[in-house]
Amino acid sequence: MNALADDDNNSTSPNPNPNDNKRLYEDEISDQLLHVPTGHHYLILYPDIETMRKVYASYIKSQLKEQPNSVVLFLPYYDTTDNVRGVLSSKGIHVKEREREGSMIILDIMKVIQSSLFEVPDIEKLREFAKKTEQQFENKTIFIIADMSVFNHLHKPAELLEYEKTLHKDLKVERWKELCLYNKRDFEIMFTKDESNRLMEYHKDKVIIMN
Amino acid sequence: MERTNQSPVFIAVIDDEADLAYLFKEALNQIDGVMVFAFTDPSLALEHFQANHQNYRVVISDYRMPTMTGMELLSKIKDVNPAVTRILMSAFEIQDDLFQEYKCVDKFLQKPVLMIDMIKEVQMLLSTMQIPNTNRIS
Repeated sequence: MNALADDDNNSTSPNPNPNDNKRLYEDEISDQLLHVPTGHHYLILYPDIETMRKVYASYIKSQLKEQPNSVVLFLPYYDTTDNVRGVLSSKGIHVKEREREGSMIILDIMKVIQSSLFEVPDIEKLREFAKKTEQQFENKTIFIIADMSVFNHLHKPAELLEYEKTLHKDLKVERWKELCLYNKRDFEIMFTKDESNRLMEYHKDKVIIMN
Repeated sequence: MERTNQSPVFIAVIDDEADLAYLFKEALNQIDGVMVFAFTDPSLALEHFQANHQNYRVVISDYRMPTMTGMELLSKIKDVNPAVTRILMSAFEIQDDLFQEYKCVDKFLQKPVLMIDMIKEVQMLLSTMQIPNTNRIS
């Protein structure tokens, strides 16, 4: 089976329940992310894991439908990688085939950060990993979704702040679209008001705060 | 364990996945003489525990949760009332040095946890546990 021709049987019903506002809202967010041009870095604050799951599933499905030859790099934190695979498969995405051919990489972000492959500080490991991925897929568009909430548990907000400001340094940004996810409550705890404002200012209109 | 003539003992289950927290609560409520509280927010769980720690016997927490890890939560629980049994559960691998660092976990459960195993585990704990005087705080 061609992994690139993902099954569309589970696509959104043409007649969604008009009372299901939550679902419509998540589809709206997913649609918004889909239309973010490559070369951009977005910051997305999500309220809970259930909402985050619905959004990433819907977004990845739409993105792969639109650009089937692209690469998805997903680094979850609160969801296990197996659960992510299950969620994506339930949307008709051929996860196993994509992982086998290398067009989908799902890794626990903590494992990337704690990896001994790169002898650099934790946050830099993420950048090194991104660079390695870029070299591996030289001619492809890469969509990265990373749950940065992990840095709240690591108690390293200063390093994260620096990373967010210099994210695309050394990378060919035009082939990338990076979505940095944050659990809202982690975000509020992690950054002071001033830091939070600086982050928002840095991202300007590239912030989505989900309710 | 027969506790029908006593006040119910409190058990807290904390999991950021609301469905799971609810399922654990429903399962543990099948045990006689217990009152189970489910939380998706560890900070709220801690607040409830601080206010009611005399009644608590067991706290079961997931590891990766927003605002604080299960390990951090159980450490704070231990600070308030070390007599309470603290169970950590996770679908992720947890490095041994974290257990050494915090020294607050009495039992670790690897997710997925079968409800029947969770019930048995808590029943066993309660049956071997001496019900302390509710005013005695270590």
